[in-house]
Amino acid sequence: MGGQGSSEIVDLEGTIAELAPRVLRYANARLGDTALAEDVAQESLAALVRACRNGGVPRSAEAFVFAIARRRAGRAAWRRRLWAPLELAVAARTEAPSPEARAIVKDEVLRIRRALGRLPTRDREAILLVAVGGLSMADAAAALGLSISAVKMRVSRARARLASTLEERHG
Amino acid sequence: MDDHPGLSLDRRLRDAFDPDPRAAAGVAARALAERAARRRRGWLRVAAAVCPAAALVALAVALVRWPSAPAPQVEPTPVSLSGSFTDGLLIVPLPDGSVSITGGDVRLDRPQDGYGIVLVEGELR
Repeated sequence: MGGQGSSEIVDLEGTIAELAPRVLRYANARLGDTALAEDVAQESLAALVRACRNGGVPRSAEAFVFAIARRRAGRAAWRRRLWAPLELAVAARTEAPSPEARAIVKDEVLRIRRALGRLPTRDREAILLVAVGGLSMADAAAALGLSISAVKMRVSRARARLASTLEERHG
Repeated sequence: MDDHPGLSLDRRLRDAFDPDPRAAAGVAARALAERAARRRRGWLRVAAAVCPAAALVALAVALVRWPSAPAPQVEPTPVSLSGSFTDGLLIVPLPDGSVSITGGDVRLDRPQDGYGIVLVEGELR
């Protein structure tokens, strides 16, 4: 893994195909909403396609896509918070999720989501980019606008806290 | 990726949020196909940015040029008006229906009373 130089993005379709599951996984972890995550991932990848077609090939495709995904996921989360009361009201009038549907939601995902929710936002951002998005420290630093050492520190702190939280809940 | 003690934790996180491969393929395909539509929207965005900018420039130019523009020149036309002197005041009915009353101080060269033809040169307001 690691940053791809501009000369390496010759196979745009290959790059997009490789990045798609990673950025989708990241958006899914950020938002917890598959449809919203797909929108965010698609917009971020489309931005890379546009940049490449217009000649403005980014130095690191991964950092470029994840920086956009991060920003768009943030905006999507904010918009969702804004609409949440309305969505709750509509959901209350429609049917509740079936027991089967509830059973589908993995316990593990819920546990990890809760543990991630306990992390400080800055640490959560870093661990999601590195662990879930699969970015190198250098690319995560570029996407977050931080130094590599700062990202390393955040990721390390997040890993320690996550491990401890998950152990607590397991035990 | 670097080997680190949190490798298993990272794998656990990745597995928890692993997307459906078909969804990922769909996202990739749509991102690649969206180019044309985005380009059209790009033109709209450019137009939306250019139009207000052009309007602002036009407004700025107008604001600069308007005060510095010379006042419109009105060519004087000779008009014959009939007026009268009454108690030293020159009273002239004007073509627009108003009456001009001038004077007040009695001048020796001005008749105290009478009628006559008054030649006025200048802008008629």
